[in-house]
Amino acid sequence: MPNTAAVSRETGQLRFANQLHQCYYCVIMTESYDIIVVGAGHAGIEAALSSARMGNSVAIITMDTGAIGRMSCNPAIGGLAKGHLVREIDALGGEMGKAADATGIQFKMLNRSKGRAVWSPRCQSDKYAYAEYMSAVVNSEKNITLIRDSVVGVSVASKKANGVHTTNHGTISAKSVILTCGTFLNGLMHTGLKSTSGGRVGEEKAGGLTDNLTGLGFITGRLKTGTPPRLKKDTINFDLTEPQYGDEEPRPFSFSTKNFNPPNIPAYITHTNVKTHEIIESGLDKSPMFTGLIEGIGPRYCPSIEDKIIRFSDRSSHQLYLEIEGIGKDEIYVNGFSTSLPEDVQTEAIRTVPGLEEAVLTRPGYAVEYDYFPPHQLYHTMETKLVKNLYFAGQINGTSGYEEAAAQGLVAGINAALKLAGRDKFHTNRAESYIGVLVDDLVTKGTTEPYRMFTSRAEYRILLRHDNADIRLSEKGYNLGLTPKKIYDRALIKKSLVEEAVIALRKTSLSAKKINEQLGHIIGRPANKPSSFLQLLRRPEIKLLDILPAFETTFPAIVKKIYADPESAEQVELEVKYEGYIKRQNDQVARFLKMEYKNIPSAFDYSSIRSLSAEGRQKLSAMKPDSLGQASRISGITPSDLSLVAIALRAYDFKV
Amino acid sequence: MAVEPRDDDTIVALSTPPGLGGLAVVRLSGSESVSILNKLLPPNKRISSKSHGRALVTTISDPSTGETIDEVVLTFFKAPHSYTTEDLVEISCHGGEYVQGQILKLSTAAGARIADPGEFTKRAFLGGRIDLSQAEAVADLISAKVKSAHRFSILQMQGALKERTSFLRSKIVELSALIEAELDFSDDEIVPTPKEVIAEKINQVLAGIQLITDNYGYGKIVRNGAIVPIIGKPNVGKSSLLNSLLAEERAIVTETPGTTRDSIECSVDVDGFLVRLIDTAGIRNAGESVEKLGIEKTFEQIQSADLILWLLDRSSPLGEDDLYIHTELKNREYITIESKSDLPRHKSFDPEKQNITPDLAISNPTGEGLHELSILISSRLRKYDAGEDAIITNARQAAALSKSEKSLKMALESTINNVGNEFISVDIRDAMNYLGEITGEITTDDVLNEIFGRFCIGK
Repeated sequence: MPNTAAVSRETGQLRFANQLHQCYYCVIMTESYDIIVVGAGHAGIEAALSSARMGNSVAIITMDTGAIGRMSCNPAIGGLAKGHLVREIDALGGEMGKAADATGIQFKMLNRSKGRAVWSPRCQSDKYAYAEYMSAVVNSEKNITLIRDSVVGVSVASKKANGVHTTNHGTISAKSVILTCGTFLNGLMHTGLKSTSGGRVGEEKAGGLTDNLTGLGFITGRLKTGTPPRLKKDTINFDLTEPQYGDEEPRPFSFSTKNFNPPNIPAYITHTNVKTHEIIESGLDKSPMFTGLIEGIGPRYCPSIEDKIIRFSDRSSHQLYLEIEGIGKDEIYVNGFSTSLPEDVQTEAIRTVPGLEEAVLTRPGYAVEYDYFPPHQLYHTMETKLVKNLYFAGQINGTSGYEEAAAQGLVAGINAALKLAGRDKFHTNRAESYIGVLVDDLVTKGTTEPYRMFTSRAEYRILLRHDNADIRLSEKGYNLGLTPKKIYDRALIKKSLVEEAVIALRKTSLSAKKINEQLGHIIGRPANKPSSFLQLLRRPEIKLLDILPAFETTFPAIVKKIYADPESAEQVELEVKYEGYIKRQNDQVARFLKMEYKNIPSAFDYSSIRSLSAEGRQKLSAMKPDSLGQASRISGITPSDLSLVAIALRAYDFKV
Repeated sequence: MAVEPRDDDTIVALSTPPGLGGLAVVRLSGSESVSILNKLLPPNKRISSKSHGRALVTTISDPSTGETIDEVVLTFFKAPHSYTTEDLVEISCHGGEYVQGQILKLSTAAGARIADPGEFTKRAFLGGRIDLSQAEAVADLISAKVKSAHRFSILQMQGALKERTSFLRSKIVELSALIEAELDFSDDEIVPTPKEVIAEKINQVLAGIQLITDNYGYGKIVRNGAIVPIIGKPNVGKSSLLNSLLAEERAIVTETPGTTRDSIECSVDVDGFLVRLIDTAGIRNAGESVEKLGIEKTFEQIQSADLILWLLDRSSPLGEDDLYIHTELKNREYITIESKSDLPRHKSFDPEKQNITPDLAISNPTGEGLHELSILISSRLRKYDAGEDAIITNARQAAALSKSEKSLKMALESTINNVGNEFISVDIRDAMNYLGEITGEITTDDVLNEIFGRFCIGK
């Protein structure tokens, strides 16, 4: 049910075209499905939607059918590198971008002060509206059945998944199973020295499943994450804080979003101070982190306030963002104040912060520990190596973040559907997308701390921009039947317009006289010889818009098209200004792909290569890389190991 | 990325055993071999696609200086009609490490890469040139070569190089963290690093690479010559030995003034090695401050030497000064020479008693022992090379260092032109990866670790 929810700019109120609160307490007609998705978080939603849209009957089993698409932590979508993921999910026909556009309350392009290649969109969301939107979409998808239950085990026969065991429905059979259990596997929440079992406040943990999976041979680990306290809105004095608005000209995540006119509701900035830090330090003896109660490994990029104060003790102040969780709602999210200190310490510390002197906590921050399954146990399709037709996606793989989860859910859902249809697997590589980087990092390197996407993880960052996600991926999405034809067509036009424009700019020159006449006010020194438009545009001070009037006289048709599509203008400018770097990255990609296309059969026997180093043999046998390229990225694999594998592969070809 | 993909580039290596020989063969294989080699040839004597199977007599010169390196015979085999099934050129050149080293160096500068052990055979196999039964033999070849690289002298040298490179790499990781942090985190989390600081840091790494390429190992000996100081107490015959060696061997450069007033440096070709002989200030327990300065300089030269010629005057008693020098030579590579063998041995000249074993005796007036000394010098210098692998390993490392240097220079240019961190990062990453080829460590996680350690991240 796309585009049914929209936020009114005037009132800031959410209105829905359809009434969505009708809960489907589904009468289960059948107890057999093509695909079962366990969990209805950000990974589960994309997994279920993609596989259902590809024609499969899908059951989502969740402990709480009212908690679809819930934002357990910050009320925001996107951000640096994460925004890229959302754009890519959208180009592949996923739902996250559309939901974010429909329910965002403030949009901002991050890194705008830097080069376009690293711009990344982010929005703050009305998290209630977001969950409602997602719930409506899932409920309206005819191939999806929602089942409220708790899954305690995966049913497996001859190393192949064939259903799940539940608490109330017994065994439900399916051809494939996708686990997207989030932080619920043996979830243990800590506030101070008090711990409660559960995956989110007020929600039960999922027990039993971990034991079932380790019984099947999977390796498990324990991670930790945390969330800040929420405050009662009307107890905050916003006058003492500084409002921060989104962009005046907001840009949507989705390539489908039209007539984009979202609200622009500010967040509020305030700061901790020495007093705050003193109180937090005095409470450390009751911190589950610092007393060793928490064993799981937490994310370093998202440290708790107590961590920040200890590790960066020279800083006397840390910035906090007070973010609205929902329009007309009473809860405020304190971004930057993630903590697991006892509630009284949290309250006391919060009240030292300007604007929060009278603040009342609606719920304290907490840390949550949960089981995960190190993702080197998966193939690039997210299917497990141990059990066929069983897929893992999201936080169960040790990632953090809604966007990372959604991306994996999409990859898992698409591949589960393709496998059932007997079609080739879906794969996007490191040179093609952030999703490709994410999946490859996970399955090749595993992770020992919650994994978050960073732009520095992408080797070919200059090519993988948010603005060309449609050019990079919509063809794949369209061929899968997920991306609308309109989006794909537009990407094709955008691509050819850029090529056409660059060629035209290259072959058209402007005389020195005309350059001085028309661009004299922009260029530093008067020109004394003619230049092609391409050369002119390469100058840092000249923008495409500056030369379009002169360019129009020779190529009116192209210029007309550029004016009509400002996004393609961006592309042209990027292609020209950074041509040298783009070419270098393309060369790197060509080298990368050569190795990537050297496939290693899954039945390949490394023990037959007798000269292989012991470490190489052990790692390659355990990891079963898909290609020589992937093998090269496994830690500890040396160039001579790779040469030996290449030779043995050649020999293998002879034999087969 | 742990390992650079390597199969599509052009490789070069010495195909005949290293060291002295009448002729030597250097081979280039890969799609760029003709274009690379043609950069080193005179315009009227270059390889064309029609040259397949024909020998071409031509000269190889250094395109940057125009200096002629050698007259050579080239044989071109066009793909797929070659051993490797790629375009392949065999260069027959004159024997001698200097010439071979120069050809390898110029080829890599023009775009080739030094071949891995067994790589020509590997390519032949992958190209379907040799059959399955040979596959295991190729595999063994590769693993055997890797093992032989672990021979002691290599290991020692490699250890030092690796340590230096690791240090530089950690500096680039630091640099990279500064650059990446700004891209990966928003303005309100990270205070941007000024361009001047970035440029300064790039320059520091560049200086470090320069130092390594100037100072390390066999590759340096092949390229820049071996530094061989002649030391001993005053009047032991150092200058005479220098002059005798100049007369005995072909002098390449005569009497270039040394770096201090006290040392004279001359270069000679000893068995194909470029040997830079340095006449040093005589060492004795000196009171005079001027002389002291000269002696300190001599000790510095001992430390940076590739090989030391230590002279003992057999016509006079072994003295305190000799024993003092002996202690300074600990852990250094040196040849102990009895000088003035035309004079009778003094009865108090008893080095064996002090655990000093002269390697040979020479006489400058009669020329006795000079030829033997030349042979000993070249064989000692060759000790730095543990067979084919040593040259390969070192030249490959030199290539990696020079690529890293090139990338850093581009990064520096980008920094100065203020093009944005995402572009500077393209070259910094390359530089880091090239150094990683030497140290064997490459991950983006290193950069993230550095960021997390350095910045207070996370709103």
